[in-house]
Amino acid sequence: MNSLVNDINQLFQYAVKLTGSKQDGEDLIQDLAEVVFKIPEYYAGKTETERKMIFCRILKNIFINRAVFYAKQSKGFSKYNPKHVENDVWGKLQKLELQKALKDYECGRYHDKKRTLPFRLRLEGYNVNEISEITNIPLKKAYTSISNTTRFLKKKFAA
Amino acid sequence: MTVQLPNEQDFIEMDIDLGRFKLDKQIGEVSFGWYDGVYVGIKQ
Repeated sequence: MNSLVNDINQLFQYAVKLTGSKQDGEDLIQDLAEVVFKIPEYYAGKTETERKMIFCRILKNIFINRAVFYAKQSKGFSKYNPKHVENDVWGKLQKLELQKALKDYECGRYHDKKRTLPFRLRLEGYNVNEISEITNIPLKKAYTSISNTTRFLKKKFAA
Repeated sequence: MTVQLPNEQDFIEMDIDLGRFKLDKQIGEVSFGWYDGVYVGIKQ
């Protein structure tokens, strides 16, 4: 927990940057503290840089989970359309995150992680229709991306 | 060891050779490492 206290200022700045408001940033930090307190092995024995990276990752995951939760709660996920949740701060921020990832994806600036975005969402249990709705990737392209990645991994594992 | 890979509708099971998996780090229940030149994460 001391590790979190040392990094709290930088983490708070990151939380405010993600959410766009101090109050929501504080909420995120509280959730992060809860996770870090419960699972100390996440950061035990790590260097300062590794620890900050882990905290930032957890913070971002909490942020994304909240965004999905609020989007589900307000509109129903199957009908989720970013245009419908413009007044919902979490939905709005989720839209921005996904748009950024999608822009990188379309411009070819993507890291390997972003190229496999549909596959990773599929692993999380979303169906292809939902993935297509969230990312605005056409249904056929989402299908192709998932099957290409699966085929690639099958080939690797079978070799 | 058997892993599950998603396809468009459901999941398919595949056997992998753990001897070829070089563990890099363990975060929670996910083991990250190299498998034949590809960086993968295997969830327990």
